Amino acid sequence: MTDDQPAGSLHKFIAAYRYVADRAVMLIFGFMVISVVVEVIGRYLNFTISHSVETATFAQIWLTTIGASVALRHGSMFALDTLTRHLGLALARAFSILIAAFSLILITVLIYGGVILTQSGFHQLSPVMQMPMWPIFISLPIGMVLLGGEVILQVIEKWQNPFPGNEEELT
Amino acid sequence: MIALGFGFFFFIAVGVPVAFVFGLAAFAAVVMSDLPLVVIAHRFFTGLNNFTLMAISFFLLTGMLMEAGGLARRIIDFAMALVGWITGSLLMVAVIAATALAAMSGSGSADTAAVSSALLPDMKRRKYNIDYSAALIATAGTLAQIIPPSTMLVLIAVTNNLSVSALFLGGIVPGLLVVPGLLFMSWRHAKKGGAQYSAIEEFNLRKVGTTFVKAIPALGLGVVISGGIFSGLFTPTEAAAVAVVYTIVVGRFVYRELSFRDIPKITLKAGAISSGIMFLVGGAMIFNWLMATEGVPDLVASWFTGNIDQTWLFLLLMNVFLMIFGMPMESFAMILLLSPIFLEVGVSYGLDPVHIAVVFVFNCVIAMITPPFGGTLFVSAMVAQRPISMVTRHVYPLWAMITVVLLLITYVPELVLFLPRAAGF
Repeated sequence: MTDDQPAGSLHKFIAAYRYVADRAVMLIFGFMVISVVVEVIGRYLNFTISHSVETATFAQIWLTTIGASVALRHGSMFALDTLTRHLGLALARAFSILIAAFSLILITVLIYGGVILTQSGFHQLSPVMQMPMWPIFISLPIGMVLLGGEVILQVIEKWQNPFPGNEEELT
Repeated sequence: MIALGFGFFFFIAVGVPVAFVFGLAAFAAVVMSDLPLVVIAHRFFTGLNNFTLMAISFFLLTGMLMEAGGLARRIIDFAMALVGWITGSLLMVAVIAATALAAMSGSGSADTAAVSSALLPDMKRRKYNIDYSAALIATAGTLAQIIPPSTMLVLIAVTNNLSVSALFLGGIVPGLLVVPGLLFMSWRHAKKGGAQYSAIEEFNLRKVGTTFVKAIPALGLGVVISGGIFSGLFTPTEAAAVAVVYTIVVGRFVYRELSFRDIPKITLKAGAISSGIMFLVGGAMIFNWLMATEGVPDLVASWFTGNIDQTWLFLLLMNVFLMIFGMPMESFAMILLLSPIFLEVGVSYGLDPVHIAVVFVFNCVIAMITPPFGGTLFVSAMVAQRPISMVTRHVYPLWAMITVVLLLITYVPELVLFLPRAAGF
C-alpha cells in the first residue's frame, strides 16, 4: 500500500458521493416536472392521478434537502461578503471555520429534528395517498448529513482562498 | 424577539449563507424561549410542503432551457428586425428582446445571460460603450421579475396567501411602463455617442415577417404560460411545468439546438439554484412563524398607524426602507423576511395587498441593479468581461428612471390594480 492510497480512496468516495447527489437532483427534478405534466394531461384526457400533486410536493422536499449540498458546492447559496472579502488569509481562514461552525449548528438541529419527525412519521399518514410520512421526513436527516459533509469539504477545498470573489445572485 | 433580531444581523454580517441565517436566528430565539428544538425542523418541513412553490423551480428551468434551445435567440433575431433600424439599434434590440423574454421566463439572471451572450459581442465589435450596454441589459433583464411569469411574484404570493394570478396581472402594467423609459434612454445615449451607434440595417418588412415566423414557436411559450393561467386552463405551477416540456420540445424538435445530453446538465444547474432558494424559504418559514408568534407584524403595524397618519408617508417610508435594505440583501430573502410585515401594515392603512405586493416586488427589481449586490449587474458584467464597478457607474441614470416608475405605481394604485380587478380578483 502506498502513502497516497488513503487520500485517493477518500477522493474517490467524495467524487462518488457528489456524483450520487447530482444524479439524485436531476432525477427528482425530472420526476417533479413529469408528475405535474401527467396530472394536467390526465385532467383533459379524463384519467385522474389524484396523488400526483402530493408526490410532486414531496419530491420538492427531497430536492431541497438533497440538493442543498449541491447548491452549496455550485455557489448557489448567497452570503454577504462585505466583511469577509477584506480579510487577510489567516483571518479569512478563521472566518471560514467560524461560518462552517455556525452552519453545522443549524444542520445538527435539523438532523435532530428530522430524526424525531421520522420516528413520528411511522404513525402519521399523508393526506391524499395515506402513505406513512417517514419516507418524506427522513429526507431531512439524510440531506443534512450530506450538507454537513459539504460544509466541511468547502472549508478544506477553499483553504488557500476561502472567499473567492462575488458569486452570482440567484434570481 | 431581541434574540431573533440580533441573531439575524449578527449571522448575516459574519458572512453565514443567508439560507442558514434565518434558521440560526430562529434557533437562538427557540433556545431562549424554551420551545422544543423539533419545532425548527417541523416549520422547515411545513414551509417546503407547498405545491405552488414548485413554480419557482420550473420557471427557472424554463429560462435556462430557452437559452440553450435557441428560443431566446429567435426572439432576439425578431427584435433585431423590428427595431434594428433605429439609432442605437443594438441597445433597442436589447430592451425589446429582454421584454419579450420576460413574458416567458421568470428569471432575471437567465434573461440577462441570454441577451448579454447574444448581443454584447456584437456591441463590442461595433465599439458601443460596453459598460453602458451591460448596465442597460442588466436593467432590462430585471423586467423578468415583474412581468409575469415572475418567480418573485410567486414567492410573495405564497408567503402572504395571495393569488398568484392576481399578482401576475398586477405586474404587467408596471413592467411595461419601464420599457418606453429604457428605449428613450438608449436612444439618448446613442444620439450622444457617435457614429458607431448608427442603425445596423434598413427597415425591411420582409425580414420582420421571416424572423417573426421563425420566432412563432418561441413566442408560443408566452401564450402557453399566460394564456394557460389567465384562461383557467392551468394553475401557475402547472403552467410552469408545461412550459418546461414545451421548451424542450421546441428546442429539440423545432429549432434542433437542444440535445438530450444538455438536459441533465441544465436540470442540475436549475436544481442547484432551486434548492438554494427553497432552503432559504424553509429557513424563512421558521423565522416568520416565530415573528408571528412574538407579534412582530402587529407591533410594527401599530407603531406605524400610531405615529404616521398619512398613507402617502407610509408608502414613501416603505420604499426608502426597501431600497436601503435591498442594497445588501438578496431579493428572495427580503420578500420572505419583510413582505409579511409590510403587507400587514399596508392593509391596516386600507391599502390593497395586491398593490403592496407588486410595489414590494418592484423594489426587489430595483435591488437587482442596486450596487453592491445587483444580481443582474453581476451577470451582464461577467458576460461583458468588465469590472462590476465600471458597469455600475452607468447604471445610476437607469436606476433613477425605474425609481420614477416605482413612485408612479406607488401613488397611482390603479396602474397595478386595473387588470386584476378587470379579471375579477
